[in-house]
Amino acid sequence: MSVAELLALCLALVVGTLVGWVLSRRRGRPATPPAAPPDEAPPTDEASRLRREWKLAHEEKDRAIAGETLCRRIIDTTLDGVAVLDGDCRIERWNPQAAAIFGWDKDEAIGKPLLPLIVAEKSRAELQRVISGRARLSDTPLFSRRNEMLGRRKNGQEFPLEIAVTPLLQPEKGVSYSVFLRDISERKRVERLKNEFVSTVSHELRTPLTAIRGSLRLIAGGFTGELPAKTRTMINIANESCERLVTLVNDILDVEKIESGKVAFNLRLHDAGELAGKAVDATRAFAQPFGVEIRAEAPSGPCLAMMDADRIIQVMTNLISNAVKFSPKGECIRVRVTPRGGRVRVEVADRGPGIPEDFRPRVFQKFAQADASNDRCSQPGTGLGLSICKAIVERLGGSIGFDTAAGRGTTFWFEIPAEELPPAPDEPASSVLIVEDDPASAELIAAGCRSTSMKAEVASTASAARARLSKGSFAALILDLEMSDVSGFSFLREIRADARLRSLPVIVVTTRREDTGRFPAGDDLSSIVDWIQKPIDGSQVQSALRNIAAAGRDPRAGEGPGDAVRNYLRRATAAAAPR
Amino acid sequence: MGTTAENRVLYVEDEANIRAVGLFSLADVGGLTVEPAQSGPEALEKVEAFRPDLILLDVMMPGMDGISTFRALRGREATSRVPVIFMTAKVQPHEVQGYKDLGAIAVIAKPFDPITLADEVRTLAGWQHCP
Repeated sequence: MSVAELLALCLALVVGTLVGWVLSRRRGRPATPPAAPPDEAPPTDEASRLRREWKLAHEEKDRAIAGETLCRRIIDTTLDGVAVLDGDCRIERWNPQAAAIFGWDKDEAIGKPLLPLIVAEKSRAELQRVISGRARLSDTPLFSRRNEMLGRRKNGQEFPLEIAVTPLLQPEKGVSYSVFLRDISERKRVERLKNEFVSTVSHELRTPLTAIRGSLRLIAGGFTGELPAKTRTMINIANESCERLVTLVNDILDVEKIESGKVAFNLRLHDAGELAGKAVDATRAFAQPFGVEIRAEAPSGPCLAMMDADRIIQVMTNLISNAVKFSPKGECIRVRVTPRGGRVRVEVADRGPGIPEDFRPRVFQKFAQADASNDRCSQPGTGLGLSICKAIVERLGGSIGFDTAAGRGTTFWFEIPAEELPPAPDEPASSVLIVEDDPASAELIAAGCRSTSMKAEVASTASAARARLSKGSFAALILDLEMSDVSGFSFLREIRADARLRSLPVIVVTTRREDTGRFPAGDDLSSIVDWIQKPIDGSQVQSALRNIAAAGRDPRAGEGPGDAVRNYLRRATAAAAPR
Repeated sequence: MGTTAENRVLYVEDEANIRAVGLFSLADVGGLTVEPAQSGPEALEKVEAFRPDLILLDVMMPGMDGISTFRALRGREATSRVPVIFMTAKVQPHEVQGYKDLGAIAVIAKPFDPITLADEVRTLAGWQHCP
């Protein structure tokens, strides 16, 4: 071979190697080293360069393989389950911990869609939402968040599962996901034990507290005789401190019960604006000595939501009294309820000093209290109020938060899912029959009906009512139980005996228990769905009618008003029975 | 339904201190005629002789608890219709409903307010209040 030919060969080899090297770098695969140059090649500069390139490429490949091996070893030995998914949520990688948690080994998992393999039916929609939510964030820096769901093993066993999903950006491959999986059964068990302990301790505390509180109140109230001045002072101190202790124990138990889901909420359709009005009324007296005014802004439209009225008023009252405590004298607090895109939003805004920067992350924690020097109330609260509010709002499917600016004030807000107003039915049966012999009451009830856009017809005697019922069809019957010509109960029995009318929802109107002597015992009262008490007030009628519409549609109405009425009447009939 | 003659209360509470406070509250502050009992069995012994118009029954008692005592009372002809109010720290709405479904007329929460206890009892029982 001539020198020229040899040079050409070396050049070709070098160029070829370089090209191959560059190409394989771009593809991310370790470079495949070219075949070793023939030993017979004379040791020229080009040959040394070739050897160097070849050595570098080999080292590159070794590093890449070592890197991949290390990575896999780390993933395989993590304490958490790890899965890697492709853009369609199919499993590409599945580590031994994931296999241990779920019972699916690698061969059973790879290539399968993740969702049916790891979560119970009821959590699938939520997990899908989490993953889709992450995909939309693929333009932003990577982050992951833990979600708790109901997991399910291969053998069908369900257990509490914690999942963290992180989108992975691989330019050539598009979006894929790494999923960290943790079986948190043990953690949940320990939490439950802790909560039960807290609950037991608090119950034990209540017994001596009942006696202490009782005796102190009696003494301080003067019921055991006149007290010398110094004794009076000391007793008052003890009494006040005892009240705080009782409130504290109650709050601790309250929080634990709500957070552990043991509280049964009495969910009914309510207007948040009305409830806010009640909360404001309840706190006005509290605000007065602080010289703070509370202003409730009327909502722009109906703000209906399924909620437990007492608990929501509890939340609102808590937020308002906090605002009062931190408001300067002469300022005013604004309470606003607005519908906001499928949710009802309640805001309590004050013009106080704002929440200090370093306290903001702890606002909703238990027993966290900011610098008390700003708190104008002489007795600091239990430190649990906001954590209770958060627990309640979150159990109702909502969220809670605040906006604050130093020196300008703070607005606490919470939002809960709204309910649509039941559409005014335009079929013929959008009328309510009112059976009431007192014209004034009848008119009040009729006005209440009309305000829910239902038509109202009035019958003032049982026979007129029978005639109307046979001629038309009604969405509901409002029946006065105390009419003079016929007992409401016998009329009810008639209706129930009539197959056509048996399922007509009935709202009963009555006064107080004094008339229970007239209630017959043991009636089947199941058509009664609600109860309006005289004196009639339009909002009772509205809410009763709305509840009929809501209960008809939504099984979440839970313990319905009908149950309350039935039990009340059952008890009343038992009490009225002759001794 | 209320007449001025109704004011006899059988008060069943196992904790001595609470019972003393309750007794003072119902009788001295509230003007009711009260007979205390410290357990379910003692209540059952005393009830027929005392002829209460109402029974205030603590739920958490060792041995025979409030519910069992209630059932025993209901099981006896002479006492089956005496109205009962339970006293308990457990006052979630669904728990209260549970007691009412059993047949109690009401539930009073503990810790109770000794100053207003008698008034509360009168209201719940539908008795007339003292002027």
